[in-house]
Amino acid sequence: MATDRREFMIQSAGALAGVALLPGLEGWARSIEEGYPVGIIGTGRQGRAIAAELQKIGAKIVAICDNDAPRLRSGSRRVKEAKTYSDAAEMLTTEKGMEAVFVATPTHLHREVVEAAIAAGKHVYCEAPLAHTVEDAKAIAMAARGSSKVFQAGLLARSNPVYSLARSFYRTEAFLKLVSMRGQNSRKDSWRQAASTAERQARLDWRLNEATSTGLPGELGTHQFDVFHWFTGKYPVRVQGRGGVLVWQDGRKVADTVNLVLEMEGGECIEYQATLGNSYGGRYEVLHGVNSAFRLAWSHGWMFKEADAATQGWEVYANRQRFFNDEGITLIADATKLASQNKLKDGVGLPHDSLYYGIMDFLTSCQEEKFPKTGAGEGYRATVVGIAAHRAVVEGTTVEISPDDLKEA
Amino acid sequence: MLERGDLAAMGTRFEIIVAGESGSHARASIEAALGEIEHCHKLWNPFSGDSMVARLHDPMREVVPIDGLTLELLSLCERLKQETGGAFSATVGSVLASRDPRREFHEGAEIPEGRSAYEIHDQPPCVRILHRDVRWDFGAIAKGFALDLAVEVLRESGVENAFLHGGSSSVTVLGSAPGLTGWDVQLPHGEVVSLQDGQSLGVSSDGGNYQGDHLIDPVGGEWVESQSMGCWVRGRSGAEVDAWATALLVSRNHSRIPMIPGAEGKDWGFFEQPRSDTQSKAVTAEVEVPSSGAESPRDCGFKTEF
Repeated sequence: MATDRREFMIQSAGALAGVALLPGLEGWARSIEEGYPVGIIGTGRQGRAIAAELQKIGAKIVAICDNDAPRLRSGSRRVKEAKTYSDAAEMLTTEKGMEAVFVATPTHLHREVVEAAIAAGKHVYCEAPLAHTVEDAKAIAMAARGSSKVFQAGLLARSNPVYSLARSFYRTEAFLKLVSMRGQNSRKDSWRQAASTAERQARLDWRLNEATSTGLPGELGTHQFDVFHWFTGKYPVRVQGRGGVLVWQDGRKVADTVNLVLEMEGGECIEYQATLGNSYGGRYEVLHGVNSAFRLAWSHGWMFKEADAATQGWEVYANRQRFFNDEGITLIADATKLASQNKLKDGVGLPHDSLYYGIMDFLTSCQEEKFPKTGAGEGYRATVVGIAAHRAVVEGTTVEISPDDLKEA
Repeated sequence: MLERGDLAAMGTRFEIIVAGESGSHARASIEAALGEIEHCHKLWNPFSGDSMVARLHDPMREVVPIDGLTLELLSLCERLKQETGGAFSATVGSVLASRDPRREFHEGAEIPEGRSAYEIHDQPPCVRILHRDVRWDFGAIAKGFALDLAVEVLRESGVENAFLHGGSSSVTVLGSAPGLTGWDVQLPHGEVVSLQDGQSLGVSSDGGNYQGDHLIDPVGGEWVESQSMGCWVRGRSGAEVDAWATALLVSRNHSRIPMIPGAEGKDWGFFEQPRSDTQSKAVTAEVEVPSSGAESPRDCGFKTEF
């Protein structure tokens, strides 16, 4: 059911009481009024993060949707101008002027929402992994292929300026030849949601439900596996997995700590570790080459040169950071431009969250009607790898991934 | 059972203690509540180029789209500015910038104030900047605002008893401590302020822990000289008691309190800080969680990336 924005403002006027807000912007704010009209389906933490980035960009969030009333209220408080819906189908039918939708529902609910959005003629940004089963992921990819609209999977590395810069070096003598790869995602987070009723608790705890969860390899690993897919142009042929509930002994069965080895078709391996029990090191990927290694940490990136690697000239002037015995050359996107603006002193990381760049790419693709950097195919294949890796952990075995498994059609 | 989680944000440490819930439920509730505080930190961090404050200060923007929470905060700041007779002002950042050589400020520029400097609009939410030197500083209200949001999340999660504080100078509680009828907070001079369900406590002191004086009087634009005094305010909104504690302390030095229309009926008091504390602590409230038997809070050990 849609709630009128004014009605919402009245309902939530606690903090606004006594303050005379000025009336509409009329002419002078036309640039905001003309912001690209989008909607968000799913206003949990990820949906709200998407909203925050959209607000920075200046897109016009015309509608938000969630079937969980507290989450919808929370989203609405942040996006006061948006109409609110508890039913995605109703939102898609009603909001004729909404050009694009962001799907940030729980993973196992993506398929129904994405298919409905595509059928309604909307551009779609779908969070990754695309689905909790290969069957659903394939259905989403096929629906996207059949649409004339843009479909972007929410894998952010391909839109990340630091990662693009590193990849440009990956293809040169600066890196030379791939030796090995490693990734980790370490955080201190129970992954459990809090609710006042058992029914809502069960609904929100979908990541801890064996029937709906793709576990740490799917929910976290998928995003990082795609980094390696993108850099190498290859996909794993098999994955070995181990894991267990080592920290959060609260009755859950979905592993809170996993270790994986993903073997690529050329024999190179990705060692991957994820845990909810310790945050040391956070999230990063490392690619070791014959001449250098890259450490990529989403907002930051570094290149570590081997002593016998040829000097290329530019690195003499580069910003550096010390890591124990090693010195990393900071990979700064648009360094020359930033230097000309005297902004290099502001820090060596990206100015925005990596989500910002993914959303920017999506909106640009929508408006220019061009293919996104991360389409349904990339999203599908990363999802298949994530699901296979989760299965390897659950079964404690090696799972083969055949080339046919990676074909969405 | 007491469950505890903490977070480094807004230049201080936030802590949430939940009593009487199962461990996993309490932990999940704390994580969600800290998520709200972290969100506020990212929105209003003046030292991040990606924050809402940075966008409000961007000289290239005349109209700055804002999110709903920032609209609420700015609107609340406007109201409190009126109620405190200007003793609380979120645009005190303009005064700070004009006196701080590290901050970019135009030489000889007039300090911008009020509606002549900006306009707040709600359709769509945005701020129109009319004076390029207007600078916001939410240091006297953001912690309380964040705690208000965090408490809402805890309530929604079904938590009935909790103690939340930011830097131990902004406190909000739910229900009561184990075995007590509320939560007691001891001020540095020994006085105990009792808080009942849903109440907040804001404490401000004029003894800073860096470079001496740290409060500015927005009305006169002068530093408030340290007299080793503090002010506490108790109320139903963390954001409001935070702002009022600063406003009353600033006004005390100029004997303006009788002239503040909104001060009447507020639940507040001044206190003298023990001399030994004033040089070492800006934080004035001593936060101690009553323990029942040998039980002590279990640290959830949250850590976030900034």
